[in-house]
Amino acid sequence: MTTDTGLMPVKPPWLDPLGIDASVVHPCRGMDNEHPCASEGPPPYPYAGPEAMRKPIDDALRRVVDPEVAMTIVDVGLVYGVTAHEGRVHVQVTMTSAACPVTDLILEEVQTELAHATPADTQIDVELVWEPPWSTDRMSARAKAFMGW
Amino acid sequence: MRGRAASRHRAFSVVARSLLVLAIAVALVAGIAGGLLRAGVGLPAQAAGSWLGQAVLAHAFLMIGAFLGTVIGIERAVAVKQPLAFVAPLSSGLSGLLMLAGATSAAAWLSVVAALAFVAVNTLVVVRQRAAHTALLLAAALAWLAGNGLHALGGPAEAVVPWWFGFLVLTIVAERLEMTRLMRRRRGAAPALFGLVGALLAGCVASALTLRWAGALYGASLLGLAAWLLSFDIARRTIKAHGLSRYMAGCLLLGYLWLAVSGVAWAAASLGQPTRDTALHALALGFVFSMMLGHAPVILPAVAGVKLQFGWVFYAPLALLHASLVVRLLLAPSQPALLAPGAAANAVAIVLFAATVLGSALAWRWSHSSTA
Repeated sequence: MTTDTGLMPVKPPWLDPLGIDASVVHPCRGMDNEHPCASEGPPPYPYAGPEAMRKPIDDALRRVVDPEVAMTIVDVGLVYGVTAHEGRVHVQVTMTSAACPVTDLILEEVQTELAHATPADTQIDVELVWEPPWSTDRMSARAKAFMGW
Repeated sequence: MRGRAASRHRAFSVVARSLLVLAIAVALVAGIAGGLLRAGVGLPAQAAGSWLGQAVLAHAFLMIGAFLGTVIGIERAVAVKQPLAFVAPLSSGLSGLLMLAGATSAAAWLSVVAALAFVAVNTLVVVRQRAAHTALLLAAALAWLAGNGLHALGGPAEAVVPWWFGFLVLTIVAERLEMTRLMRRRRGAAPALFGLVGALLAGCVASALTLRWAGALYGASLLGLAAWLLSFDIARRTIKAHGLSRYMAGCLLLGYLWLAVSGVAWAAASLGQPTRDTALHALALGFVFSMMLGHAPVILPAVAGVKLQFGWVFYAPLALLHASLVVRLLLAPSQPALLAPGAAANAVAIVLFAATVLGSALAWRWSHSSTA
C-alpha cells in the first residue's frame, strides 16, 4: 500500500475560496465540545500492544470520518479491536450495512492513516468483520449526544 | 491458462466499463435534450435526426431506467462484489442505446432483463443481511420490474411512471432508513414508514388499474414519506457539522422539501390542476437529483475510483438547481412562459455539476501528484 507524504495538499484557490477541504480538514472542525469528535478518554475498543503506540493509533483511527454521518469510525463504534505486536498492527473494523458501497474506501483510509501514524516498516492489516453485528450500543456517549439521544 | 483467463477477464472488464460510461453519458445527454424539447426549449440540433425524436418520446425511460437505473445498478454491484451483478447495469445501459436507435421493443424487453437481474442482486443483499432497509431495496427493485414489465407490454405512461418513481423513492428511503439507525428510534416510526411504503405501492397498483383516487393516494404517500424523512433522518443532525457532511445534509433536506411539493402536486394533478410537470420534476430533479448531487463526492470514489477535492464550489450547482426549480415548478404553473427558461436553467445546473465534478477530480489529482 503506498501512501503520500502527509503534507498538506496544494489546493487551487478557484476550487476552494474559503479554505474548506474535506480531505484534509475534519468535517467537524469548529464544533462545540458536545460533538463526538471532541471526545477524549480511553478508546472504546480492546487494545493489546505497547502503551506508547496506543495514542498514535487511536488518533489515527479518529481521523477516519464517515462523511455521511459526520463522525469518526471510533465514535460510531465501528472499530472492534486493535493488536500491535512486533512491527504489525491488526485492526478489526465493521460496517453498519452490507449494501454499503463505500466500505472499501473507509478500509483504505484506515490503512493510510495507520501508515502515517506508525514506523515506516510496520505491516498494517485491516480486517472487515461482521460478527457481532454493529448496534447502537457501540456508539460513544458523545456520538449519541450528537445524534440527539 | 490462468494468465490467459486473467487477461481475458481484464479485457472484458475494460469493454464493460467503457460500455457503461458511454451508456450513462448518452442516456443523460439524450434524456436532458429530450426533456428540454418537451419543455419547449429550442435546441440548435433540432433537425439532427431521429435519435432526438426518440429522446423526446422516451425521456422518462432514458432518465429513470437507462441513466439512474444503470448508476444504481453499478452502485449495488460494487457493494455485493459479484461480477455477475453487473448484468443489471449493462442491460439497462444498453437498453437506452437501443431505445435511441429506434429499437423500442428490444429496448423495453432488455430493460425487463435488467430489472430481473437487479431483483436477483437485491435478493442476494437480503440473504446476506436480513433487515428492514435491505427488504426495502428489494421492494424497490420489484417496483422497477413492474414498471419495466408494464412498459414492455405497452402500458400507458400513467400506469408505468408511478412504478418507475416508486423504484427511485424506495431505493432512497431504504438507504436513508439504514442511516436513521444512528438516531434513537421513536416508537411508531417503523410502523409509520411501512404504512407509507404500503400506501405508495397501493398507489402504484391503483394507477396501473387507472382508478380515480390513485393519484391522490400516491401523492399523499409521497407527502407522508417526506414528513417521515424530515423527522427522522440524521441530516437534521449532520447539517450542524462542517464541510462535505454539511453539504450532503443540505442536499438531503432540500430534497425532502421537494418530495413534499411533489406529493401535493401529484394529488392536485389527479384532481385536474395544471401541476403535472411540478409533480414529476419536483420528484425527479428536486428530490432524486439533489440526492445525487449530495452523494456523488462519496459514491464516485467508491464505484469509479475517482477521488474528488471537496470545496465550496459544490454549492454553486446545488443553488442553481434549486433556484431554477422554484422558477419552473412553483412559478411556471401560473406563468407558463417561465417553463422553458426554468427547464433550461435546470439543465445548466446539471452541466455545471458535471463540470464541478470534473474540475474537482482534476484538482485532487493535481494536488496529490504535487505532494507525492
